[in-house]
Amino acid sequence: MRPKARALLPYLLVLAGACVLTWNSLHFGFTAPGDRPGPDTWPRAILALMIVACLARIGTVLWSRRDGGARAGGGGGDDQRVVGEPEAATTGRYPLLLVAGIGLTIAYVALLTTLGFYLDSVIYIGTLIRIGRYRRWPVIAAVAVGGAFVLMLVFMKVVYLSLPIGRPPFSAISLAMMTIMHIR
Amino acid sequence: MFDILHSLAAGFIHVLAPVNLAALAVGLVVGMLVAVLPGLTLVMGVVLALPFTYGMSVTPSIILLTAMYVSGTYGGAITSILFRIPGEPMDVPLLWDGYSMAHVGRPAEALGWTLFAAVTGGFITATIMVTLALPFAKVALTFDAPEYFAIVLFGFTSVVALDNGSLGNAFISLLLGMLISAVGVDQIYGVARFTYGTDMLNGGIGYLPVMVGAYGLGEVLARLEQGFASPPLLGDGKVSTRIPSLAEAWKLRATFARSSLVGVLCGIVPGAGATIASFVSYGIEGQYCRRRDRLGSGIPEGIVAPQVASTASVGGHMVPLLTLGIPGSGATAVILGAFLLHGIQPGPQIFQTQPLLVYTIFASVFVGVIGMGLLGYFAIRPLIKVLYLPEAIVSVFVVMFCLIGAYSEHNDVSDLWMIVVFGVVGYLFERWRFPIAPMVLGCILGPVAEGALMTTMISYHNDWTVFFTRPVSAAAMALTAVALLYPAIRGLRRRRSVAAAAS
Repeated sequence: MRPKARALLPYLLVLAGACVLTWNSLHFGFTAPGDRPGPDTWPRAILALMIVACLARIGTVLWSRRDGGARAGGGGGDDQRVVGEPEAATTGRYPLLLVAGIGLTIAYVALLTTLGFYLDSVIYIGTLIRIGRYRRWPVIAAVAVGGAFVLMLVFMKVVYLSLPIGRPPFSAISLAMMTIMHIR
Repeated sequence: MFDILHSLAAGFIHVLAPVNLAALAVGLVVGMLVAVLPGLTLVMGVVLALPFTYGMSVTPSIILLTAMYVSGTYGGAITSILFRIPGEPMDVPLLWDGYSMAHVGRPAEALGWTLFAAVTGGFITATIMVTLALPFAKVALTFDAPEYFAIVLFGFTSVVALDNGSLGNAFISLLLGMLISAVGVDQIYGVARFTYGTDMLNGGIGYLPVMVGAYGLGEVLARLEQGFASPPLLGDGKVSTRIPSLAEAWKLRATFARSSLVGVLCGIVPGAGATIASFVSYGIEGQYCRRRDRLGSGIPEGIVAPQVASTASVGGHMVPLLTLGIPGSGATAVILGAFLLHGIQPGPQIFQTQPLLVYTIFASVFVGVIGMGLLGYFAIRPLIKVLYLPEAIVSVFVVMFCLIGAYSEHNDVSDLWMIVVFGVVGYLFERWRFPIAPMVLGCILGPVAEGALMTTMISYHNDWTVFFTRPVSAAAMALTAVALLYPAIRGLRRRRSVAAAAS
């Protein structure tokens, strides 16, 4: 993708979203009595400002002299670092690791009520550490099994949080762990 | 004044009783632990502690909850600085200079400045709380919706104005946050907005999944894309806490003074509190501190300002709570609940009916600040060691705490989906160089701003001039204009000077 197109992408996405939400805000199905501001006033004001801001940014990118002129303030630029946002590391990028990490987290959340907190967490912790390029298998196994146990103990026994125990047959593992921890 | 000192001395004697001292110690430790754990908010911690106070008498109960509140304003700074995960919304500004300083191998110095700032802010707020309680509370009682809106607006513009590189990106980020907070059933008419008939969105999107997802999971995803290949912070592995010397601290006396004032004032205004105080004080430093051009690169001013203001706001919050019975924050609302559970109604009459209780609470803040300093100093050293663990392992547990912390708010898996969504949003923000902080601030303060604006418009028949005709709101609006205009004028001057130098 060309630098200018890459710089425009975030603003176009936000602009499209703002337009869709503005259309939705016209159909809340409620009219405020009299001249009172209604429930749509606040979101529509925000959306109007957002559309103006996006158009301004798009204009800045399009009318900038350099091809990567969006750098003056757009996405992907290097010379517009936001105050306080630390410099990104200049190391290599591994998009597959990122995709794997997001996919694994989605799977963790999706399977939480089925596998139960303990089993799901053991698998998640172990797999994510491995995806993160740590290769000492005994350490990975120990951290996954022990870490999930400690988290379950702290949050169920100390904080009194009701973590998902899963569905049969996986719930048997959670119940066994709870027995070990003396949790009723 | 003599009467106040006499009562305070009696309070000190009372707070040193074994039961009260034990409650104070437990409160300090638990408050710091809760604040350190990402996702577990200070308010959530105070709420969880409330049932444990049922069997206690009123004095240790209030001391315990107040101690949690005091140490909680400091504990979250540790995760902000070390892991770039704010334990509380008020800790977000600490990410900028605090994390930057730690990132370049000076974590002990960053934590030392934070601790020094927290203790200083604590003493200042305790002193102000004792001496100026009633007069300040009387002024705050006159504030109405226009004042709230004007002050929140000033908070918004301050954080946007911080962005020297791209004001537009920060503004869009802020608006996104405000829009996120508008999802769900609106607070005045009860109309569902942007819910699309889903139960998950009906209750709205809380700031916790946004904050924890964007900062916690988003940061881990960004690091994962780089293969968890961050360089080690220090080669020799020997890190110690470095408390700044008095001479170093004296150089920042103006920052301490400004931030203390902002913290106390924001604390007194109900709803403003530590988060606004933290952002506003950082914004003010961005405008007025000598090294404002380097703010965000890891300088002490950027650490001291938000931390002093956060801790200083505690005393400000306690003033209207004790003298008027008005809680200014979630934590003080829980403390008010503890008072009521024990059959005591805070208000002006409490100074006549329960003077020992009031001054014991005041004294417990002084003692609590000392305890927080000692605890913070000795807790920092083992915490810094966490940085030397393999990044993959630490990151996995950061994600786990984020997920469990978000889940614990409502015991609802849908909050975890929100974490995943905002984790990806946080990653994209990082990739596209959009600042995350304005979005988080917009999400937290959006409902406050909307409520104040709607109430004003309804109460004053859509008369916008009310914001400019009432003294306090007019002053806040003027500050907002200054905050917006000053960066533009400064940028213009800079461009002219560069052009002049080039020609």
